[in-house]
Amino acid sequence: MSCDLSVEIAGLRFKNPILTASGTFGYGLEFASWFDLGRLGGICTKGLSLEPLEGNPPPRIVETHGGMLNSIGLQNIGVRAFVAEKLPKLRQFQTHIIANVFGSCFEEYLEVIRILNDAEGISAYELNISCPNVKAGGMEFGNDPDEAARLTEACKRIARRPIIVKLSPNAGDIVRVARAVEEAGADALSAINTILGLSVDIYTRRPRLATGMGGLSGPAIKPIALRMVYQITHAVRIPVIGIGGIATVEDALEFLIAGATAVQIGTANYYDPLASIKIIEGLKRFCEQHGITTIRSLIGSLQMNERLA
Amino acid sequence: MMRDHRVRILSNAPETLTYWRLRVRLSETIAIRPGQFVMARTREQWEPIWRRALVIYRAEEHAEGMDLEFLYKVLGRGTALLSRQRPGDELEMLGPLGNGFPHDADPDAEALLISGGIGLPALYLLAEALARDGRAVRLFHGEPTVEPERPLPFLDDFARVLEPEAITLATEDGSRGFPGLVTEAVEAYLERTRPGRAVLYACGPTPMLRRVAEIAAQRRLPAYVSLEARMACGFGVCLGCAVKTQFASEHMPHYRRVCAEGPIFRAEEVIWDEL
Ligand SMILES: Cc1cc2nc3c(=O)[nH]c(=O)nc-3n(C[C@H](O)[C@H](O)[C@H](O)COP(=O)(O)OP(=O)(O)OC[C@H]3O[C@@H](n4cnc5c(N)ncnc54)[C@H](O)[C@@H]3O)c2cc1C
Ligand SMILES: Cc1cc2nc3c(=O)[nH]c(=O)nc-3n(C[C@H](O)[C@H](O)[C@H](O)COP(=O)(O)O)c2cc1C
Repeated sequence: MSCDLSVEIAGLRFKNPILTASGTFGYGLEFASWFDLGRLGGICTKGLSLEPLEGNPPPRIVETHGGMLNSIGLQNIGVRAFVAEKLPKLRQFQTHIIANVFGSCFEEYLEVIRILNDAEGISAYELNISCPNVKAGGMEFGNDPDEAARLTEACKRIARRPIIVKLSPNAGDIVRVARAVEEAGADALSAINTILGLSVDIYTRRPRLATGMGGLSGPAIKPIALRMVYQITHAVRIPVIGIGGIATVEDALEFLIAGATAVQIGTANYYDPLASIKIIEGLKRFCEQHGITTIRSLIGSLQMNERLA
Repeated sequence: MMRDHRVRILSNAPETLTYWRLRVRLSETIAIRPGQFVMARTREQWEPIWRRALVIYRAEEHAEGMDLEFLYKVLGRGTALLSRQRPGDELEMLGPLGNGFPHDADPDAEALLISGGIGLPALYLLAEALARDGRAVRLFHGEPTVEPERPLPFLDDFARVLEPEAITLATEDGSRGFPGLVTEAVEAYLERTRPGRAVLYACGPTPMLRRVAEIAAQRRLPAYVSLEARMACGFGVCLGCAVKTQFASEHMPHYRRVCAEGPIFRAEEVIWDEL
């Protein structure tokens, strides 16, 4: 008996619930020599901005226990080069391409989406709202429910494709932001982005990243991400894509059971370029062994101890 | 082609007080350019989470495939874990990665190979390839200190492909060989012989590479340096290992990836103040 791994998000059918996370999978093509990209549920591209960005000075990454800190600085080739050079090759693969979008102000987000609107082969937009809003004193869009909602609404108004809002765990109350962007028209949510962290060199007494602080990712953040995804799925009706420290099929299953409709694999791609494929294979095996005919039956099946729920 | 090779350890033991030699068997042969590296981990390893970059020191083809050798220094968590692996254990090695040294840079020039400490393994396959082409090759290797009577097996490896007198060992404390920094030994050699044409190839600590770049600029000699940077992936996607260079692509005016466009760069391309 084979299991139906397909799920639906924002009117799109995904052949399986395993996607790759923005910034950890390049523009996708880097992995085409490792496996058929068409086996993935979907690919989230590196964050795209209106103009190319050169990123932060090195050192940009540091290894921590069970994870890593990064401050890449959203280095990317810019949305126009993506559309001209990467997308024509990427859209040949039988998978959903989700363009991850960011900007330093509202207008930039909108301009990137306008350019992508005219391009063929993109299934949805994922808004990275964990970036500083230059026009609002550098405060992250994602930290303020009202700001996040206004941005979502503006993008939604012009977007020709579904909008997935990627939530920041650094917000004071991620559930409030989730509710606000749902209200503003988001088609789906993804959570979480990296958690702000710090690592110190005790000999030089300086931060180990050139920019000081950076975003924590990897297995170390999984329990936090899982808790947030659980809370968010209970607060909104739109689908949630779980992200954060997923390294094994068991990790992916935990997110689905906690309420995620799909998941994204991030940091694991770095130490194992086949991580996402191994997890898809693992899902099939798990379902076969446990007589599960559709993966959808697992989603949100968590039975919380009532007194604690 | 780049793949995640599952390899079996043939031997893994300390060679001197500082250096370990790892020998592994691949079940196939792969094409390797001198200076290319692999990203290695023990099987199903979760902690530390990154693989470690190791340059391919030596390679030997045979009927069953290929044996690869690595030299490493036990420093932190990754190399400590590696040193606990036994013959028969398996490792996962992603590679070969990176650009490798150009060995046809100036066919008539003398090749001066310069290494500091654990930079040495990046230069063996280059020495072998250049010697095979009949090129004049010299090796300058620097260490802080070397115990007086202890053998240095890795220098013997080089002595099998180079003339023994073409190998200069420099020690900072003067315990053996040329007393002083390896770059001082190189300068002394250049001063003495004034070769019309020479190409410098270097791997070692950043201050040493920077000095090599200065020497090359002063004497108008081409130089290639192999850089190190922290890497999460090693195959170009994390953008963690970026370094500032003079001539980068149209989209990226400054940064290039040590793992993909490097690890070998022309010395004058590197913006040394921003490393
Ligand atoms: C292209 C390349 C080839 C290399 N080849 C060799 C080799 O042949 N033999 C060898 O012994 N070492 C080599 N290194 C360095 C090696 O990858 C390890 O970084 C180093 O041995 C320290 O790892 P650790 O686990 O002992 O230390 P840890 O302190 O646990 O390292 C923590 C992290 O920082 C990184 N890091 C620490 N020191 C350095 C450094 N000097 N340069 C870059 N990253 C660093 C590590 O890779 C790791 O990701 C190479 C590095 C690069 C970039
Ligand atoms: C080096 C690096 C770069 C990233 N770049 C982006 C990005 O451009 N846009 C974005 O929305 N998220 C980015 N992320 C966040 C990931 O997509 C993901 O949300 C986060 O790493 C948590 O998942 P993980 O623990 O599985 O890696 C990046 C993460 C890392 C480690």
